[in-house]
Amino acid sequence: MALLDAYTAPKKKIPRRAYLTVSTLVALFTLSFWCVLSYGELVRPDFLPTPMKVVWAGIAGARDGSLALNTAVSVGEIMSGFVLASLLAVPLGILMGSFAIVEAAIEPIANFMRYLPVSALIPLLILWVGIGIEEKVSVIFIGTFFQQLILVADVSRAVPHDWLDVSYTLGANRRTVVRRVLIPATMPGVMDSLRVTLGWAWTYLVVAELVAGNKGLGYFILNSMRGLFTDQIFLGIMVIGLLGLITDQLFKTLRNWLLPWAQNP
Amino acid sequence: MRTTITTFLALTAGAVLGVMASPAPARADTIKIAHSTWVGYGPLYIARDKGIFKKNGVDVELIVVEDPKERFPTLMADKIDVIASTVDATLLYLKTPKDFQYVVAIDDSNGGDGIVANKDIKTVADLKGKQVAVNEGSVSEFYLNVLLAKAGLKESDLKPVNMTASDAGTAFVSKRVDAAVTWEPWLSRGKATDHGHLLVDSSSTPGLITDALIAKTSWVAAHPKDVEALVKSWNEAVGYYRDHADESIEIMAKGVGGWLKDPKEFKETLPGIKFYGAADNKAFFGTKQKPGPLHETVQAAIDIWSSHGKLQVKVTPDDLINYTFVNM
Repeated sequence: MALLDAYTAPKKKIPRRAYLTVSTLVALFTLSFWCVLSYGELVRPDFLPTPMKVVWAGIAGARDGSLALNTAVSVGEIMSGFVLASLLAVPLGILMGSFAIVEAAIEPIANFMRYLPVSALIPLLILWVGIGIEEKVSVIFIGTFFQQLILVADVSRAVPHDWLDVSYTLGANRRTVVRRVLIPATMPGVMDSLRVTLGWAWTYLVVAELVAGNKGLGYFILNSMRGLFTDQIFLGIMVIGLLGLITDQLFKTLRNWLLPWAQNP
Repeated sequence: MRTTITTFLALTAGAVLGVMASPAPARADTIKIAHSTWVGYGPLYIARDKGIFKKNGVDVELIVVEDPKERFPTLMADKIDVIASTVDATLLYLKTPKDFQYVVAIDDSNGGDGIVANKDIKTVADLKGKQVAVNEGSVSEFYLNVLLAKAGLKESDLKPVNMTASDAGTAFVSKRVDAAVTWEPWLSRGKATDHGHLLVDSSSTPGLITDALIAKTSWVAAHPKDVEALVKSWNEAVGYYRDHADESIEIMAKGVGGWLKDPKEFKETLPGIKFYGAADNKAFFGTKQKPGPLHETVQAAIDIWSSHGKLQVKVTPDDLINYTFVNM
């Protein structure tokens, strides 16, 4: 009971071992729940594949090389769109959150754009951009850029005013304050925003590969929907989920490595 | 907080149990029919609004589900009793040979589908080596393959670019591809460009791009009276349209709605299809001993999809065609 009490205190660390145990148990519970539903045939087999069927679909895909190819194509599209969006959104967002004049210029249009359903823009993207990889990258870009902009602007806005005042008091000029105080102070928050929006970029994958897709995980899932190949749909989802898990972990590591002064608690 | 968590758990458990225990209803009180926004499905609304369904003793609910990728799963999961879809699409979803049956044909594409191409592409054979926008696994790909086979080509002789039929139209109009397999209104728009013309349309292949009412074979067996009434109602609705065209167009446009909600637009789209009435259905289905053109269309779809490796089971046309109701 005392243990439970110690583990349920808000904002208190728990031992690493307990942390990992809980994570593993929940993952195992989910897996066994899936096993019970599928092997127990509580859900019709063509509606819910068994874990082994998904593994077999994975092996088949690995054997003919299609899984690796689809994954590589999708990672390429996602990263191109995401990096492009980040390169523009981070500096713009920082400026937007700290300079009222930039905010006035960009915020209304960004707030307008970020509510638009990207799937509705596809016919326009075909007309203006084309049907090659540039169309897919554009979908990812539009889907992430405006969200990043708002998130980064909020991070930049949250940098305490006092820090800038102290710097001025210590004799720093405007330029130095921006370069040495404002930008470093936003970095941990920026990294977190990027981590979150990379996840969003993945959610646009199926939409991105609607047009002229013949490779990629989104195409693979769409194609498996015709004929309702649930094992392949699951495989596609699993691979995307795993990639998400990996990139998330990479981001956390990168953050601790680049910004050691702002370790995650 | 406690209540929220309890409610959440209860809801989750409920949802799970719901998935686990959703048996097919013994008798459909209300027959649910799913269809997409298309002129061909209009007479369903005549049957509903003129009381034809009711007169024949069935209570019908019409539901729009645009994409066949979603329409078939609703049928398989017993969320929907009957769907309207193209004959060829049905084959892709068969997990066993006798999963579904066509009970009545409803419309035939009569120029509503086709291929628009650059002006230098004069015949289907000229498509060789060209970029052709076509929706993989859809009726467009089926249609393209039938035409290619006639011209002595295979799909692998072209450079197919996969996208939906309306995206294909958009891509052609903006010169991103050399040709597009699409439907109205994109055929007219493609024709109207400086670089494009109509290469071929479905009026030259009657009976090929055909919509039918499709239900699970087990459902048909369990509800013969309902199916009989549905088929009868459909045929009567088409008869009503033929006798009262203007009034029917008003009803159909209002019912189908979407981009066809304007009766004028509906009327302009109508020549692209032909409805199957009672006599047309008898001729199109034929009998088991003397099958009509439907048999040939299903066989063509079986041949094409199996050569693409898209069929999950071995099937013959007679596994799917129910000759009973149209011949009643």
